[in-house]
Amino acid sequence: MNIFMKKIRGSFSFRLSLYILCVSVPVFVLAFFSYFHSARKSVKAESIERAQVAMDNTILQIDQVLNSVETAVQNFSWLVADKLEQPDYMYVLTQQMLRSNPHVVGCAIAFEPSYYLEKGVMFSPYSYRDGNNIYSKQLGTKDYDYHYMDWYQIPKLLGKAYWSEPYYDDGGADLIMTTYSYPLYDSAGKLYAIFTADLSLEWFTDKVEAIKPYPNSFNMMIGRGGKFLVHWNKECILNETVFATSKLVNGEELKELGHQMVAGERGMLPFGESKTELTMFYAPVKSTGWSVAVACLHSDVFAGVDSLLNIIIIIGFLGLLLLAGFCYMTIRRQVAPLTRFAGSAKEIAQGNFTTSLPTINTQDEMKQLHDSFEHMQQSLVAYIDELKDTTAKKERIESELRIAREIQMGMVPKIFPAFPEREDVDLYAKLIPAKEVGGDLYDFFIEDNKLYFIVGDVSGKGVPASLVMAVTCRLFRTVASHFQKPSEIVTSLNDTLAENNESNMFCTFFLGILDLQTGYMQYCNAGHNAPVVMRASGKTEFMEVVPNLPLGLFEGFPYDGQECTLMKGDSLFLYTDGVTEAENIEKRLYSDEHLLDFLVMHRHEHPSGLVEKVFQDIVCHAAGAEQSDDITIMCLKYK
Amino acid sequence: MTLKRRIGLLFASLFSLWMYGQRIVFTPQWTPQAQFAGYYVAQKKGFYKDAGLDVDIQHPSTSDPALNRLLEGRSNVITMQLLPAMVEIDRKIPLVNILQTSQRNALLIVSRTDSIRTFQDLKGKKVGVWKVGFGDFGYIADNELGLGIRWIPFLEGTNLYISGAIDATLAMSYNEYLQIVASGHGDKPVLRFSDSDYDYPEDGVYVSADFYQRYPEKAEAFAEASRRGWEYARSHPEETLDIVMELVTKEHVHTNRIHQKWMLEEIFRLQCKEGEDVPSFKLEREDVERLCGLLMKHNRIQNPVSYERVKGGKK
Repeated sequence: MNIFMKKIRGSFSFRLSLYILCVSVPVFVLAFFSYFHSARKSVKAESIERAQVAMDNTILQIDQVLNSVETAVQNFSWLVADKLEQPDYMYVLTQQMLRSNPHVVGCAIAFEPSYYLEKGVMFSPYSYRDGNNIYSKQLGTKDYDYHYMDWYQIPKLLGKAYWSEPYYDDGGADLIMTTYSYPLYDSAGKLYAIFTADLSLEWFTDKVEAIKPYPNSFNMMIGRGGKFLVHWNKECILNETVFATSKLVNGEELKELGHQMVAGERGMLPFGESKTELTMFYAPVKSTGWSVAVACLHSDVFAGVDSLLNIIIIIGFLGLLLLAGFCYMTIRRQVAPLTRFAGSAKEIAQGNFTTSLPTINTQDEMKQLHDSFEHMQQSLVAYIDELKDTTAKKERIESELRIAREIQMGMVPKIFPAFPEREDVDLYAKLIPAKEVGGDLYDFFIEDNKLYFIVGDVSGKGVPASLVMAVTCRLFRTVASHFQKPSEIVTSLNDTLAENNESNMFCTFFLGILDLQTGYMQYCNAGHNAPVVMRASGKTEFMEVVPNLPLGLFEGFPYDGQECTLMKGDSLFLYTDGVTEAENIEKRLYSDEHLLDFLVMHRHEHPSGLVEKVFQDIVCHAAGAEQSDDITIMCLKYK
Repeated sequence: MTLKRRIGLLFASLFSLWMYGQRIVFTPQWTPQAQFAGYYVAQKKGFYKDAGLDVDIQHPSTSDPALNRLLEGRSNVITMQLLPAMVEIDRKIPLVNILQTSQRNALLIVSRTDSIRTFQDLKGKKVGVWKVGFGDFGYIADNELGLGIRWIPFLEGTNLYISGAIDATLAMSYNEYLQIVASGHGDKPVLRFSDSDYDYPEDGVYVSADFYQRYPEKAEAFAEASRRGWEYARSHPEETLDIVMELVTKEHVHTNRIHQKWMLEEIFRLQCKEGEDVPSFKLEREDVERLCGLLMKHNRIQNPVSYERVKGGKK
């Protein structure tokens, strides 16, 4: 089974052949059974006709003989009436009856008790055949009181002619006889005699037995009481009845047949298991009340059709086998290039784009597949060339960006601790661009015991922002030495950046100048996020800042400066919006509130520890979400 | 006539004994059939021989019934129904019952049509009856119920019934009725005498009083061997049927095994009292007295026939 399933899955031609068979086999079977059914139907109809014709012919012949006897008896009855005054002449009449009717083997004129006083109670002249001779005798004796015999009593009681139930002849020759009894009435309507004619059933039984519509047909004839008169088993004759026989297994079917036959009906009855073994055709012999049945074995009736069935099944089977083989071989040959195409595809997949394709000489779908494959090969070669070029370009850009990043990172101080020689201040900063290069910036330096520090964020990201960032950083260093106040420095920076700012880029910016001796701090905010001040007392809050405008937007914008004082132990936390606007996968922001809470919780950390923890917290918050903006964090502690 | 018959019987008995010596001629009341299976078995299995008896079974004919044979000395032992036996005893024919095989009345009336369902429905109808007898209960019922049945005597068989020449027929449940069933009339209404007040024993084995007095031990031996035959038949029905079929074939009786099988089964049923399944083979005093009352009532007998008379003086 597994091999078969493997074959189905593994072979297209096998599978397709199987599909074709799946359709063709039912079609074949349907066609075959339709034919077979109609053939059997017509054969059955023919068998019914054949059996009934054979049976009817026989019954007709039997009826003719019976009728001839009936007619003869009726004709002779007039002679009896004529010669009533001559009792002994009755012997002559019975002899004449035998001479003129060869079928009749015995004839009696049985008179009512004491009809002729001189003849005694019983007077019944009787003539019978013995060989070629005809003998006569008086039938009634002390041992044979015919007045009580069925052949006498029944027609007398019925008041009409009667064919007796067949019986064995007393002669012991196993001859089956029947007697036709015809009651004779005088002018007053009084019965005076019964005229009888005995008939041997040998001729009848031979006739019935000879009905052979089919080679193995067998027949039976039953009397009024269902007694077998003709039976294929001689032991049953006149011994058993159709209602009580030991010779057939299924008695109930036979009983049903018997009832219909005894009722003088005509018809057919299927017999056997599923009613398919044989059919009994039956018809009555009306004058006697007997019934003839002919059994036709279905194996006989349908022998021709059934032998044809075997031939058709063999031819059909071989045909289907041939069809399956032909389909399999043809499909296999037709789809053979596919296998080679598969090989070529594998070669191409391994990089051998110029591998040879199978040769197709037809102009069908296979040719289209070949052309498509060829086109694909050419396209692949062109694409790969293009890809190589693009990759080279990309690598170059990436290399340049890498260098730009190094340059940019080199522009912000990265050596920490920044002022190892000083004990009054500790500062730590970190910048992580979202791309190779970014627009965030920070810087710091000490001059005249004053700590200058900035944090900025150029609008946009990538190379343009990084260039503005570089310009801003350089400008800050240059401008810082020319002005005292942060607002002046910022105003100068803004004017410079706004000038010729055709790309309309801007930069949020925070600048602080902390006097390390006094803790006095001046600062100016240009649209940047408010830093967080963490007092040594524990108070942690966003600094109050004037928003102002980011740098580079409006030349000549007057920036307001602010001031405050840091006490020993106070810390300042500066950052860009990449911190508070860091998003996780659900687009939830890190937020100002969360930052403030986090800083409150970790206010005792020294700057480097605090910066790293905040950064780790942002990474945790993002939980794998891509960093969308540059992140810059700076923390300084006044000691 | 009665005196002449008695004298005749005496001489006949002496003659037969002289003729046959120790040989006993047994004649059942009908042609060979399973009704008499027990006797055939006893003969075939040698039970009579074992009892020291030389038994010859000879069957009667229509014109030569069993009782005639007994009266004429050609048979020593016969089977007979209880009712005619008591009637004969009343007529001074000294018969002695030596074995009672039947305990029930097998007589019934089968209707030819569905219209006859009770005895009352038989009023003025043509009903078949055996010419040789067995129809006494029919006559008694006819008389008792005032039915005015037109009795049509027939010799044997069921052709009269099958032909529709009569409205109903008397039949024995073990013979004619089975033939009627076998001729496709098994669905016709049946009036069983055993279902009414006429359930009396039937078949028994009888000898002449003279024989019984001279050879009581032979009569007893015959009865005992016959009883043994019946008991063997009851326990070996198939073998019994084989024996019956062998005999009917030999005697050219046109019958079949199924009919004989049904007959044997029915005979076995009739050998037991109602509600019992073991035969006693005994004639009950109560049955004789009850039947005697019935026969007296219908003037079938002139004087009471006692149980002792039927049993040959035995108490």
